[in-house]
Amino acid sequence: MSSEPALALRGLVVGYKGRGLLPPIEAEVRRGELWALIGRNGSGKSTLLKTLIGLLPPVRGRLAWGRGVRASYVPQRGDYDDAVPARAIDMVRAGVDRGASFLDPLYPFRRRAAVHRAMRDTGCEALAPAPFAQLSEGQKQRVWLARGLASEPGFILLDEPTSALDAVAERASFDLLNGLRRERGLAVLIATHQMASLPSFATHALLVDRDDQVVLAGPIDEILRSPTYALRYGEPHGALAPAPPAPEAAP
Amino acid sequence: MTSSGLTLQDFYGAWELYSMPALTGAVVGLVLGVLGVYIVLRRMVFLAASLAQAASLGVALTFFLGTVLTVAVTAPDGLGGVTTELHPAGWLPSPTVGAMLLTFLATVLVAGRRVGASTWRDAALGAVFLVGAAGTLALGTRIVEELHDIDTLLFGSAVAVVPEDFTLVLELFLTVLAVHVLAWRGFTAASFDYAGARVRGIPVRALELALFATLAVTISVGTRIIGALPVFALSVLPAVAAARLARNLPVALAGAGLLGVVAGFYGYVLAFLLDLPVGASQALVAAAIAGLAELARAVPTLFVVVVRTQAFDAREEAAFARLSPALLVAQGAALVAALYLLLLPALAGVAPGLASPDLALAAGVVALAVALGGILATARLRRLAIALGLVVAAAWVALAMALDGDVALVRPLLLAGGAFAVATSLREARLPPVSRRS
Repeated sequence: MSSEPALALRGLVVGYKGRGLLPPIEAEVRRGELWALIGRNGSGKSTLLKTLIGLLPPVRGRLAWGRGVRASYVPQRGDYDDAVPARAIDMVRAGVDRGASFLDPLYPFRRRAAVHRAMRDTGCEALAPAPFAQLSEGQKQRVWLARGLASEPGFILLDEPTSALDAVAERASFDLLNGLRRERGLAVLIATHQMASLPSFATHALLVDRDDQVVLAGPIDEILRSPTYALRYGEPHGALAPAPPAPEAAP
Repeated sequence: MTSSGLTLQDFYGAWELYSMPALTGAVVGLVLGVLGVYIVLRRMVFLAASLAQAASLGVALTFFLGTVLTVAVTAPDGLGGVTTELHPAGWLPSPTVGAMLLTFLATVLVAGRRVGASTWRDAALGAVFLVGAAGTLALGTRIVEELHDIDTLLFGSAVAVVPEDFTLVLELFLTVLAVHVLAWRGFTAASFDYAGARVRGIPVRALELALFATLAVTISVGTRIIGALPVFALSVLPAVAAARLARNLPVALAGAGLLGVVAGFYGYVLAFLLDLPVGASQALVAAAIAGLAELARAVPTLFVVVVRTQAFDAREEAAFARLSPALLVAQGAALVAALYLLLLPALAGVAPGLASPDLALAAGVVALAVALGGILATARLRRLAIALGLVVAAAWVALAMALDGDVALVRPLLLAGGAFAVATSLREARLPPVSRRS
C-alpha cells in the first residue's frame, strides 16, 4: 500500500546476552501485508518475536518502526490467567492504553468508539458482558483480537494465535484477520510453528532456522519454493514431517 | 458470646482511647487490600509473607544494633551529642527505616519478574522467610527491654499506636493509595499483559519498579506498626475475597480496599470485645470475610450440576429482555443492602442513627424480598439452578436475621454475606446463557 515500511529490519541480529542466534535479518513489512513468521520449536522464532516486541534488545543491527506506526501484540493463550476477573468488554478495554495514557482517568471513555469498533469487527459485541473465563477458546481468541485492535494499531503481532482452536475455528480466525488486514490496511505478523495452519492468504513469510543458520524473508511464493522450506517442511501446505523435496511449487 | 461482657457501645464510648490503633488497622487494611489484588493474582502470596518477616527482622536488628553499639560509638567522638545515652549511634536507622532497608534488600533478592527459574525463586522466598522469622526470634531474646514484647512484632498484639506512627501511616499509606488510584491501569497492564503493554509503549519497567517499591514500603512500615501476621493476612485475604466476587479488576481493587478496611477495623473491635490479641483477631476477621465471600460466590452455581442451564427459546428470550432491567435493579438493591450491613458496626460509631436495629432489619428484609422476586423471575426463565441458589441465599439471610441480636459483629457480617450471595445470584441471572460455540 504505502511505500514507507511499517517495520524495517536492517541487519537485525537477535539473541541473548550479546550472542546472536540467527544470521542478520533484512526485511521490510508494509501496511496491508500479512507475514507468517515460520520456525520450528527452538528455531529462534520466539527470540525474534521477543525482540520485535521489545522484551529483548537487538544484538546487532536495527529494528525501525515506521513513522507513526502503532503496534499491538496478541500473546499466546497460555500467557493469561483466567483467575484475573474480567468480562469480555474489560479485556478489550484493557487494550486501549498507549504510552502514558493510563494516567488519564478519562482516556478509556474517550476511546469508547474504538473499543466498540474493535468488538464489532471481531464479532464479539454480544459477548461483552460475559465473564471472559467462561468463553470458549474460539470466543476468547476473538476477544483477544479485539483487544489487540482497541488501540487502533497499524501493525499487529500475534503469537500462535490459533494453537487452541479446532480446524474450523482456526479457519474462521484467519479469515477474520485477513479481512481486517484489507479493511484497516493493517500490517499483520503471525508467528506459527505448524505449517498445516500456515494461512493460505499470507502475502509474505519470514522463515528462521537456528540449526541451519537460515533466515529467509520475502513474498510467500519465494519462501515456499525455497530449498530450505522444502527440506524442513516438505511440500508447501503439506504435513509437518520432512518429505523429499517436492517439485511442485505453490501457485 | 462476648466473654468479657463488652459491647460496641463500650468501644465507641472509649473512642479517643482506641481510635488511633483502630483507624491504623483500617488504613493499613485499605492499602494492603488494594495491593493484595496484585499479590494474589500474580501468585506472590509467599512473597508478602517473606517480606513481612524480613521487615520484622529489620526492626529487631536495628533495636539489637542500638543495644550493641551504644558503648562502642559514644566514647571516642561523641557523635550523638546530648542524647548519647538514649540514641547512642546517631547514624543508626530508626526501626521503621531498618524495616524498609531489609525489606528492600529482600525484594531485590527475590522479586523482579524475570529472575531465574521460578523453582529457585520459590526456594529463595522460603529462605528469606526463615531467616526473617528465626532471626527476629533469636534477636528478640536480646532486646526485651527495647521492645515490649517480640510477639508484638511477629504477631501484632499491639493495643496502642503512638501518634507519630499514626501520622506516618496516614501520610505514607494514603500516598501509596493515591499512586495506585492514579495509575491502576498501568499497574494492571504491566502485571497481567506485560508484553502487550510493552508493545503499546506503556512504561512497564518503571511500573513494575513502582509496584514493588509500594509493596515493599507498605509491607515494611505496616509490619513495624501492626505486626507481621496481620500484614500478611491483610495483604492476601481481602484481595482473595474481592477477586473471587468482582466482575472485573477495578471492582476487585475497590472491593479489596473496602474489605481490607473492614478486616483491619473490625479485627481491632473484635479484639476489644473478646479480649483477643489484635493481630490474630484481624487475621481471623479477614479469613472470615474470605470464607463468606467464597460461600456467596458458590451459591449461584451450587446446583448447575443438578439442573443444567438450557439455551432460551423465543418466549424466554422475550421474557429475559423484559425482566433484565428489573433484575438489574434487584441486584443493585441487594448490593446496597449488603454494603450497608457490612458497614453497620462502623456506622454505629460514626452515625449511630444510621445503625439502628430497625434499619438493619429493613436491609435484611430488602435482601429477602429481592431474593424472592429473583426466584420467581429465574423460575419463569427456566433457570432453575439459579432459582435454587437464590433459595439458599434467602435461607442464609433469614437464618442470619434470626440470630440473637446480642452478637455485635457476627450478625451483620453473616447478613452481609447472605445479601452478597443474593446479589451474585442475580448477577448470574442477568447473564444470558452464552453459547459455548463461537
